[in-house]
Amino acid sequence: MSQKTNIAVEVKGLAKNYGAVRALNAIDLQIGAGEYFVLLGPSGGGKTTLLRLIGGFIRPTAGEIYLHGNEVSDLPPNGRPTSMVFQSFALFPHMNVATNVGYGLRLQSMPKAEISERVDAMLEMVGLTGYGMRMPHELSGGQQQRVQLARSLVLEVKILLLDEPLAALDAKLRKDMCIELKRIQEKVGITFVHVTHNQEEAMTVADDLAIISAGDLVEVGKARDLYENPVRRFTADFIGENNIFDGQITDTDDTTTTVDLGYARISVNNHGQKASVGEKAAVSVRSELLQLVDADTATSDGLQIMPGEHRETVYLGLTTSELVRLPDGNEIMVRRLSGGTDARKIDAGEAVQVGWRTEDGRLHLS
Amino acid sequence: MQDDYSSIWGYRLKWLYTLLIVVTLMAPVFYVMYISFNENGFGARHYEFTFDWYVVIFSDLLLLESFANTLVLAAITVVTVVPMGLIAAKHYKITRYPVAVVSLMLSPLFVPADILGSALLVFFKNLNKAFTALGETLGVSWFDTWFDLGYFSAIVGLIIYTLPYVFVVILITMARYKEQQTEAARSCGATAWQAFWHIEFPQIRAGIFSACSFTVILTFNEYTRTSLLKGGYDTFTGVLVSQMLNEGMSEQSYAMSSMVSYIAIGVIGSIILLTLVRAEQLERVARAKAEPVGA
Amino acid sequence: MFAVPVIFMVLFFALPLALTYVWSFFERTMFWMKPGFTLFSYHNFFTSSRLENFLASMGHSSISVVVAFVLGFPIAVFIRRSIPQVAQHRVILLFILPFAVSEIIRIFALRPFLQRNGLVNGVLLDLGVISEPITAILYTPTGVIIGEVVSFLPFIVFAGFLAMEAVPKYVFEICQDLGASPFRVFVDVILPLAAPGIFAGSVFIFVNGLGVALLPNILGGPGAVNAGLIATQAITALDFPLAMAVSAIMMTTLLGLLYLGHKLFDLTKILSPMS
Repeated sequence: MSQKTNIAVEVKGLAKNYGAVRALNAIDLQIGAGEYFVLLGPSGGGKTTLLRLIGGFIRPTAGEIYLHGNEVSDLPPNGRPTSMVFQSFALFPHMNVATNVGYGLRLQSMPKAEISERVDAMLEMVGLTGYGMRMPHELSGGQQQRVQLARSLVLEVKILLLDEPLAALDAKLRKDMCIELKRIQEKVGITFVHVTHNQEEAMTVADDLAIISAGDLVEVGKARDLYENPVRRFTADFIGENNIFDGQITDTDDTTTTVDLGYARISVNNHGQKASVGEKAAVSVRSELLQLVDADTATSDGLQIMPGEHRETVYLGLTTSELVRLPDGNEIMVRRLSGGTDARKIDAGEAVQVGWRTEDGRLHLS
Repeated sequence: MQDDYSSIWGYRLKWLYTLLIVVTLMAPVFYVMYISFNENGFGARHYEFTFDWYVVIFSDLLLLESFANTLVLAAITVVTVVPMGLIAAKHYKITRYPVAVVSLMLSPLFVPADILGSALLVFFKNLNKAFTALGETLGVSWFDTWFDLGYFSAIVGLIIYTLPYVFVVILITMARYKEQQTEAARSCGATAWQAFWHIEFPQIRAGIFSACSFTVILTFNEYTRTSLLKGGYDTFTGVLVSQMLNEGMSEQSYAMSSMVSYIAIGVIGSIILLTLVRAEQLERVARAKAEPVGA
Repeated sequence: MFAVPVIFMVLFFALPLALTYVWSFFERTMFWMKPGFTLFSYHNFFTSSRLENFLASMGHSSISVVVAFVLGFPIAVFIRRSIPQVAQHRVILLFILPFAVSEIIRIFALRPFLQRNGLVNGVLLDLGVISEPITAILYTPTGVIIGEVVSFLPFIVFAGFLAMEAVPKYVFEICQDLGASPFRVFVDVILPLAAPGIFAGSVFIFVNGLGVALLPNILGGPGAVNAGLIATQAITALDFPLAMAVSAIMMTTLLGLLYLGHKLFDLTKILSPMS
C-alpha cells in the first residue's frame, strides 16, 4: 500500500453485524487526505455499510474509526467532519434550492448576508447559478444531485461521503456527472469517499480504489494498478474484461509458475508470489491482450497458446469481441479495436488458437 | 382498476349502494339535527323550524359545565396522547420487532370500553387505598387523593382509548416520509431534535393535526370509560346519556348534540377536502416531474 | 424514548386487565372486596340467569358480525377494485364520518327511527307495505343487532379495506381470463387471502357487541343485557368481584378467539400494510 502523508480516514478492525448477518468483517483501511477514494463492489457487499459507519449513521459492532486522527465512533453524524450526498430523495421538499443549500449554515447561526454569499458561490461552482428560487420537484435528477453537492460542500467539511450518488441517473448523464464530480473534487481539494457498484464510474473518478465484497476488503490500490495488475482473483473478475483460467500449480520457482488447466498448461510470471505445487490458482489475462494467432504458432517462453473453437464475433462499435470456446466448455473473450487490416471472417465452429504474451498473464493465489 | 369490459351500470350500482350505506349510517344523526330545529321538540305532531333551542343551550348551566369539563379532558388528552403516538410511530419504523410494537399499540381496540373501564376503576380505587394507607402510616395526607377517581383517571382511560387511533393515523402519514431526509439533515449538522423539527415535522404536520382533531372528537364522543372513571364531575356525554335514559333528552340537548356533531363533521369534512386538495397538488407535481425541465 | 408509551400501556392497560383475573377471585364485602381466593363470583355467574343472557348476547353479536360482514365487506371490495388508487382513501374517509358523532347519539338516535311511532314504521305504513307498526325492531334483540350493525359497520369496511390489500389486482384479471364466476372468485380467492383482516374486524365487532353496555341498555328493552352491561350493573350494585369475573370471562373468550384466529390465519399478516 502506498505511503500516505496525511490520513483523512482510518478504520481499524471495523466490523458490523446485524444479528447473525455479518455485514462487515474486521476491515482495516486508510484513506489519504485530498484523495478521491472509491469503494467499489457488488450490491450488498458492505461498501455502503462502511460508508455509513464512517458517516456516523450506524454504530460499529467492533473496531475504531479515526477521522483526521480523532476517534469518532461515539459521535453522531452532526459531530463529525463529514457530510453525505445520498442517492435520491434527500433534498428537503418544503424548501427551495437556496434554503436547502443554506440549511447547514443556518444551523450555525451564520448571518444571513454571509449565508447568501456562500450559497451563491457554491451554486456557481456546481453550475446552478440562478436556480436558488426553484423547488426540488422542479429539478431534474442531475440538478438535484448537484444541489446536494452544493449543500454539503458549503459546510466546508474535510471529508465528503457519496452514497451511490449517480445510481438514479441515466447512463449519459452519469458519464457527464462523473467528470463534474472529479473536477469539483480537484478544485475544492477535500477528501471524497464515493461508493458505487459501477466499475466505469469508479475508474473515471478514482485516484484510489478499494474493492469490498461479502463484507471483506478484497484489494485496495491505485485505480490503474487494480486494472493492470490485480492481485486477487476477485478483483480481476470484477474490474475490466478479464479472462480467468482456473487450475492447479504443477511447477514453480522465483519467477515463473506453471498452472495445469486440464486441457492445457500455461506459464505465468509470478512477480515474487510464493506458490506451492498442488495449490489451486488462477491466471487472468485482459481480453484486449489476447489475440487470435495462426494455427502453426506454438507455445514458447514468451507466448502462451491455447486451442479453442470460435463461437461468435460481436461488434460493439469501438471494439469487436471474438468469443472463443475452450475445450473445458468455458468461453473467453478476445477484444480488439474494430477495423484493422488483419481482421478476417471466421466461420463459427472453426478451430482457432488464442495467444498472449507470457508477461501479460497475472497469477492469483486467492 | 375499472376495466373496459365491465358494465358501467354495475359500477354505478355499487357506488349507489355504498352511498346508501353511508347515508343510512348517518341517518339517525341527521334526524337528531332535524329534531333540534323543531319548536315542539321530539315526537310532536307539528314541525316548526326554530333556532330557539340552540339559544337555550347557553343558559343551561349543566350542559355548559359538562361541555367545559369534557373540553378540558380533551385538551389534556391530546397534549399527552399525540406525542406518545408519535414516539411509538417513530420507534416502529426502526425497531426489529414491528409486530410486537403494533400489537401492543392496537390492543386496546379489542378490549371493550366497559371491561377496560371496570378494570381501571378497580385499579385506581385500589391504588388510592394503597396510597392513602401509606400516607396514614407516614402521617401525611399528601397521597390521599392522588389516584382517586377524577380527572387523572378519566384521562388515563381516554389515552388508552385513543392511542391506537393516533398511532395508526400518524403511522400512515409517516409512511410517505423518507428517512434519508433526516439523515441528510444530520449530515448538515443538525441534532436529532433539529432534524425532526425543521425537516420531518413540516412534512407530517397534516397527519399530526388529523390525529389531534380525531382525538378531540373521540373524547367528546366517548361515554363508557369516562363515566366509569370520572368520579364526581359531569361530562358532556354523561349528561346526555343520563337524560336519555331517564326523562328523554331535553330539547336543548338535541341542539347541543347537533352542534357538537356539526363541528365534528365539519372538522372531518375539511380534512377530507384538504386531502383532496393535497392529492390534486401532488398529481400536478408528478406531472411536472414527468416532463424534464433540463439536465 | 419508546419506553414512555410502553410503560404507560403496561401500567395502565396490561396490568389492570391482568389484575382483573386476580380480583375476580376476591371475596365481596359490603362496599368493596377483600383479598382472598373464592370461586363465589364465578359460581354466582354460572348459576344465575346471567349465564343464559351472556350466551344469548354472544349469539346476537355473532349475528351482528355476519350481517355487518354481508353489508359492509362488498363495499370494501368495491372500493379496492373499482376506484382509482388515489381516490380510495378519500372514499374510505367517508366511513369515518359516523365517528364524528358520538356513539351514544348514534345509538340513541335509532330510537326515534325504530319506535312504534317512529320514522321507519311511519314510512312503511304510509307506503302501505304494512298495516300495523312493527314492534320487533326496538326493545328486542333485533333492535340490539341493528344497533350493533349501525355502530360497527365502518370497522368492517376498514378491516375489509386493509385486508383486501393482500389480494393483488392481477388476481382478478387472471380469474376473469379463466372465466370464473364472481362467486367463485369470492370464495376461492378473496376470502382466503383477506381472511386475516376479515377475522380481525369480525372479532372487533363481536367483542364490542358483547362489551358495550349501552347497546342493550338503550335498544334492548327491559332485561336485555350483554356482558358489558352485566359487569356495569354489578359495579353499580357494588359487587366488584362479580364484575371482575364477568370481565375475566369476556377477556378469556376474546383471547381464545384471537388465538384461534392466529392459528388459522396467522393474524400478523394484517399488520404488513402498516409498513
